[in-house]
Amino acid sequence: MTVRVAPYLVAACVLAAAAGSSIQRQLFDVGRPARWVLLAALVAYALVVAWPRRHALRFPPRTALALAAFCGLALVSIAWSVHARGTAERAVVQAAVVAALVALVALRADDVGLGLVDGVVAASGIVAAAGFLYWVISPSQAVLHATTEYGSRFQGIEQSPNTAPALYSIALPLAFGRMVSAQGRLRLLLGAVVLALAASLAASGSRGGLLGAYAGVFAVCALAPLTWRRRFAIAAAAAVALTLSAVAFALPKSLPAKPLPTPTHTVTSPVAEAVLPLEQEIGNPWWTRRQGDAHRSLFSTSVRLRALRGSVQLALERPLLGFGFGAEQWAFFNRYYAFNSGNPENGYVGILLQTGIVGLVLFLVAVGACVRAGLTTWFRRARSPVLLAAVGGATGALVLGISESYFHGVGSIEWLPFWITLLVCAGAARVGA
Amino acid sequence: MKRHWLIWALVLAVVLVALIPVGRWEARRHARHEIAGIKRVLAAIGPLDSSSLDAYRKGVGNPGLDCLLYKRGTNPFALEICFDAAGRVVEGYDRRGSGPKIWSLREDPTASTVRIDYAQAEALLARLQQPA
Repeated sequence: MTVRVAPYLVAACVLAAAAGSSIQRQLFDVGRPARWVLLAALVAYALVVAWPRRHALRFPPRTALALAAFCGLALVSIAWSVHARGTAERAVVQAAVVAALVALVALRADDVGLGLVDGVVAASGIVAAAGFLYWVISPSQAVLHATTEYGSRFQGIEQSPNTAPALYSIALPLAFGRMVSAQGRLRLLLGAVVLALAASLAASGSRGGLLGAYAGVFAVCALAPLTWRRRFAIAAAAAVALTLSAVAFALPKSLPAKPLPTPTHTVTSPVAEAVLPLEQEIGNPWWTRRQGDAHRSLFSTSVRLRALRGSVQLALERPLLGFGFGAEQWAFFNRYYAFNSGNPENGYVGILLQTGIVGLVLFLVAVGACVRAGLTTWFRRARSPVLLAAVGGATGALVLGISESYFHGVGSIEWLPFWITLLVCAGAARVGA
Repeated sequence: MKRHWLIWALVLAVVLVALIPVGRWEARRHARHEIAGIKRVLAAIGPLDSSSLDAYRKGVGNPGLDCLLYKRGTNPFALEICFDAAGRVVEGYDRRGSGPKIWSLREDPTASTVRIDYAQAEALLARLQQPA
């Protein structure tokens, strides 16, 4: 039962999350409620499978303690959250799902970890294929048209060109890690998934997704049990793919910006929002007296850095314990010129904002314990294909966190894959019952 | 071994519960700081119906706030207060320097103890909305 159900359930959870953020209305309406039902089913499944074998569960106790501390802090932060209900919903789901995944990987059955990873890979392949199909049927919906900031970008079935790439940046290294150690038809199938994910990433123009995915791929290259010649050949191929993706990012041209009048403090309208919108105040040409330039290139980071600096300053207003786990959307206000997001777009700053320095330290300790357990196991020559894939996936997920605030985002497309990769890493450690 | 980890779990639970008053204290401290800033902006503005009232915002953000802006010298947006439908002043802006100074309780408007005469503020808004 364990082996057969796990991948389907995980795939269904990821697909429901993808549907819940889809631009396609019917998918959206089904996915929004279905993702909670399926996460509840995952928790129930873990309980049913793990309870009869509860005395034989094996998981590194210190890692379990670190995870319990972080999830526990999320739960008690309901008491000081700026949005107690939002915090309660997210903290309870986070604690339940993390506990369920810990129980599953603690069963110590290799097939369970494999099932969890394969579920993510399969769902990602389906999302990429659905995106391509949607582009064939309805090209204008599957592409975000050029703006003055960006050229046109592929978004597939999702609402934003950055949504599916967040999933791919974890799933691509997972699929790549599985492919490296697979044989025959399975290798061909995984190769096709890798290509589909890489092509979708390149077309999306998502810089964070691209960086995370290839960081994970290079981590797999570095660890995979290959001859040095093969290792370099594969790493070189990955480097070429990354370069081509970067070139693809630069190909679509953004729309020419209309020349703005020189900013002035002489105002004729009493409608302040028309001259200096509160959501565009910091860095606004009204202050800088320079022409506003919002065009984004491959390496431009000034807009994000402005928002990041402001978010850190905001976090330091409640430095110890923050505004409440999962309360980021209520605590963060976008006041930054040319920044189009409702969060700081950095997972680590997001955790700092929500749970303060205490929460960020607990989060990093928990994540570090999981990754350390996986790497220690790997270097002790207890090497398994699923561990290789999970280390690659975890690398992609943690790098993605530099440009996406999602570590707390229960029900989002990349949240469950993030915890799966981390906990499969941790579960690989050799420990007593 | 099992007992050892049980003790650790218990210690963790006690520490987490002990953090609750700290978190609440930090929230109150933050609110006090923002309220002090908002009060300074109000003091700098003086009477709400002063002749320096120059611009407005209507229903911005979530919750929809209304704002009154006052000029100083050549700066038409020098001082600003934003308030909710209950008359609570939720945000204060001081733009008299080289960048904005912002005090905000928008994440929890109920924490604001600063109130203005809502009817007067809305009357001033209505006056500004009339075409010149």
